[in-house]
Amino acid sequence: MMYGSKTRQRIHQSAKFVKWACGLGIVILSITLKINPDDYWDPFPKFFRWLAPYTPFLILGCAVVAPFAGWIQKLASDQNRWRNIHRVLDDLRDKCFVDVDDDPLDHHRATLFKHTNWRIRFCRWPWSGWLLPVERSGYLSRYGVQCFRAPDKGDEVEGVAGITYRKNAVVEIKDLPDLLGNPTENDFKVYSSQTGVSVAGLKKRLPKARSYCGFPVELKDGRPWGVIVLDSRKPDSMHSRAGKVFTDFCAPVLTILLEDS
Amino acid sequence: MSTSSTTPWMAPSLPAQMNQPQQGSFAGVQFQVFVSPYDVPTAIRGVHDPTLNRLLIEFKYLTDEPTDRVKADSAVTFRLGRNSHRMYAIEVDLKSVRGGIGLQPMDIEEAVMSAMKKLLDRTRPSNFNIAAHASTHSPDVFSVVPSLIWRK
Repeated sequence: MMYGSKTRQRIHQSAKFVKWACGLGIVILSITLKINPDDYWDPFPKFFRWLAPYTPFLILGCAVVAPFAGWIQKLASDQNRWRNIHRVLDDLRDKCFVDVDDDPLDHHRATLFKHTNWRIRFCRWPWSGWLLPVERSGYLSRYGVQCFRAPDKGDEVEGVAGITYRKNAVVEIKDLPDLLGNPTENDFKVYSSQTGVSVAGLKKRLPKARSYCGFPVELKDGRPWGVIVLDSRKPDSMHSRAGKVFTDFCAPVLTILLEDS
Repeated sequence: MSTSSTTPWMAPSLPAQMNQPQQGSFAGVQFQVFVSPYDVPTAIRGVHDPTLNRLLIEFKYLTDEPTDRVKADSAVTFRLGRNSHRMYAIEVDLKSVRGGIGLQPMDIEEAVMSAMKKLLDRTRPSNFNIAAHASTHSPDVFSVVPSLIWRK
């Protein structure tokens, strides 16, 4: 799930609501413990008497749920940060591709991958080290983005994202075969040999891109954080100054935005 | 109290071949590789401490991290990034370069290059080449040392 996704925003809002509701609930329930039900008009005395046996348990429940909701809220928070990162990716996409004005936006994309040591998913090697997509330019094709292995054993990295992470340099691959038409077995082999994804993996998720450019992303203290991968359905639409655009504009902003992420 | 003199941060001289892609490959995968933007210094400056007679050539990057001092020889000490091993500064003890007498910028460049060669395995190769080029092709950083003899 993308960090800036609508689902994550909803989780954030819901967790915030639950946290405050529990807090308010503790206050109200504590008050009901102290009051005399007969001092109030109907139907409150009846309600307070019904509530009395459950009140301590409800207070205890709220006291447990409130911090849990706060924790969930924190996990799903930083919406502004991810909104800004989304803008940076949009701008990077706009500046790095040439002659793409007539194409749909999702034909040329910029995706930010974060390196994590494990992945919460029922899959092979969930603990081996992964590059997970956390944000993508545009508003389409944001779900079901592929994750790539980037384990400690560098030889086993997958995809352009993995190669970029391993090389810690700008990696460019272009003029890849078109797998959307009637690809031959040889096309799959060529695509596989140039992108580091197995032929079986390619056939399972037929990639539409024909050129890629990967940029390493580092934190302020020089530690590698992940990668940005630009992909395009055109075989060679990457601007020759894409690297300069990334250096001058994208990397300094991302370094600040990703601090403490 | 020492009164060190400092040049302003200036754009470094970068090697022309830096923007040329190199052919990379591993496990049969062929790709073009360009230098990471994080390895390219965005600015360079010289700082001269007359009390210690020491020249400090400092590099600025997109990142900023704690550094470790690594002594290459009697004259030159490097400050390498703790996480990335990038060259953040070069300290030149001017007293130890040819006895510190009648020094020319070329002498400092030679001392730096000779020290850098001893450190090849401690730094990032891509950053090392760029930092070496920037430090030896940016004569303005040496202008803070008043005792240098400039030959035309």
